Amino acid sequence: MAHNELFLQFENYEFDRDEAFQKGLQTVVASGKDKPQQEREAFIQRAKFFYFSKTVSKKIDYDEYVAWKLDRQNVNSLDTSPTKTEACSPQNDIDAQLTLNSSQNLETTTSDNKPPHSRSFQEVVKMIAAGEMPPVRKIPDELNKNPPKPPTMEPKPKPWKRVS
Amino acid sequence: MLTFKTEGYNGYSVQFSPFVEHKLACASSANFGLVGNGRLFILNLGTTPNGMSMERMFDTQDGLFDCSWSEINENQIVTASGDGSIKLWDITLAEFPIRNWKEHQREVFSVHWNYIKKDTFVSGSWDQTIKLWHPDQPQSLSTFTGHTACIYSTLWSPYNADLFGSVSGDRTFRLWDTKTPKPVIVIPAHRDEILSFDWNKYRDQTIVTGSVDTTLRIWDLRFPDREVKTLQGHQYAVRRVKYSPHSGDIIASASYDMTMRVWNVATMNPLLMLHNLHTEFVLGIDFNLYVEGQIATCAWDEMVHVIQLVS
Repeated sequence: MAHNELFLQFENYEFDRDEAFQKGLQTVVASGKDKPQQEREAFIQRAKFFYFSKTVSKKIDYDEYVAWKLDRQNVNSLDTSPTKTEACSPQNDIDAQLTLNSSQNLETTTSDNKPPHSRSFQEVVKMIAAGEMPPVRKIPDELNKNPPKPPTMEPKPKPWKRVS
Repeated sequence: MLTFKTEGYNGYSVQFSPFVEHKLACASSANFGLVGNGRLFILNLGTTPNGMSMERMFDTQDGLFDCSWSEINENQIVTASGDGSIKLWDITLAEFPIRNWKEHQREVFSVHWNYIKKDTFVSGSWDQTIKLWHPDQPQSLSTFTGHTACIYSTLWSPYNADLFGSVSGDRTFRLWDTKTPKPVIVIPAHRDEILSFDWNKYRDQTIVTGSVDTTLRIWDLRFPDREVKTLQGHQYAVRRVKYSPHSGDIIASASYDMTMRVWNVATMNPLLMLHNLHTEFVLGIDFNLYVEGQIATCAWDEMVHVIQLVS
């Protein structure tokens, strides 16, 4: 399947009707439900991409998808003009994230040795959606037994106090 | 640019020490704050050729969303946690906090030490309450209610030891006096959630707010009916705004558009600088109090950047 068809298939995939996806998604959404809307939407978009790549086609590549989407939109999203305003809808947020990601990727296309993320967002979302918690270390709920160190420095005047 | 990788942890907040000009703290969460541990990094600038070295780190059971250095003891810093706890740390003592308060019912998203009285701090939580604390008291001194959604930021006035402000998902800015339970002013400041605000350090009564509606707005609290100015440019939600400690005209803002922008509101074209080297949402910003033009940012890309603004 041509890449663009795969990408279109992803964009048209009926996530709403996929019970397995919806079930996993509820866990993801519940754990982030009070995050600002942008963070929630980013979680959901990445969960969709990850799910699609695992269950429908392993061939879909996030970076390629982003590049394709950018090419199709033909926008320079790193326009520094301070006059640009847009309505803030979930779709816009997703597009923004994709285009911005890709703009930066394109700037560094030659660097195949780009340091990998220690744990990608997709991995995290996948683990949570599958009901597996990412490794969480148990930190003892204790107070320090040593006495706090008393201050030795005088508070410094703030820059705005020095002027006035 | 100086950089530091907060390996395995996504940055939520940075703050320069008010005592030591090369010291910086970063509050962070594993797994983007969805689940898992938190980590407080204490960093020193200029100790390695390309940047920063870690002096100490503290691990917590739940993610850390904010931090604020003590204004009275150079060794102490308070953190806000996803499990509702607030912890006070002594950076000379390894591993465990020296205090741990558990009153908030939900995630604590904001802590801030009083600039003037220096012996209290405030916290803002998703439980819609604000609490006032003294580091030596086992319980909070008082609780302020009124916001009708998650509270994202609470900050003391740089002018008046009893005044602090707060912003919330309920789209309002509220000004509070510690001596009265009700807000002094309520400003419906944006059309969408307000994630951040800051006080102008040189113009009494002036604040800036940053919102999911992508704009920054400047307000004169004496005339709350209308904003003084709107700054547009971010493509997505504004996550953090900060006034320069050195100028009443300079503001830095961080956004989900992965950029940090610096604005000079006194000029016709206010965008002074665009920092676009983060590859994920930028959540934290701070200005160095004692090195003019030095700005730190942290982001979900597990990086802390320190840049110098060219004047």
